[in-house]
Amino acid sequence: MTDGEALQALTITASDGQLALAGEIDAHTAPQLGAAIAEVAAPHVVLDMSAVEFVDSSGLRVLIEAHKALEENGGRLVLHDPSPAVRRLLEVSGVGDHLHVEQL
Amino acid sequence: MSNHAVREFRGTSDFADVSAARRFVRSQLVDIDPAVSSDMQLAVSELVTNAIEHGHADTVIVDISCVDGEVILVVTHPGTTDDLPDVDSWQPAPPEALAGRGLGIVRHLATSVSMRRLGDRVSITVRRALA
Repeated sequence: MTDGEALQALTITASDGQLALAGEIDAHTAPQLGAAIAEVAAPHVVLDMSAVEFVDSSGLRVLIEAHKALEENGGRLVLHDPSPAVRRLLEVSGVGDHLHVEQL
Repeated sequence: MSNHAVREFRGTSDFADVSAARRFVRSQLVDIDPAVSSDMQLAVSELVTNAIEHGHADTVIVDISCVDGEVILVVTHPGTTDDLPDVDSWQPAPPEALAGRGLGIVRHLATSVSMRRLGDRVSITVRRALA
């Protein structure tokens, strides 16, 4: 793997109901995120999105699915400290108000 | 500034090529407003993903140019214009919708979008003015 490819990957680090995401979320890596959220045992899931370099509608789809699934079970999905790429996607897609976003 | 580059993604079998398409666009837009470059990377990601999702991945051609104060992104893939909704209907999806959001996002990012049929291929042109 070259350094360039390493930068493309999505890295997910889990700790106490919080998932720290780093890298790019697209159709290739979004299933990895969906699986990681589903594995969190807690009803409240916090995603640290400060190191997300790219996200598109495939990533957004996973976030909306997880948001719905957690809310239906009395839980909550929080998008914590969204990076500029995340904020831009929330803005252009018009779903920013629909999800729980925690700006720093 | 004026430049033009084309890259073909052949035999695209999974979504790994989507990031390659973004890298290609980024590599061609190094001298412009980073916000515009980011938006065009998002646009190409949506269009190439859409092409692969609809089974038209055998050849996806990404053409990017920067000329006369605008960035022009053209994504061409096998298929017909019947495979895609009219550009006028590329609207934001409701917040709770799961699918069908990509084209509305592309429309939002673009100054203009057009679509045309070229024989057995369909070509989508996204124009974005440089502020």
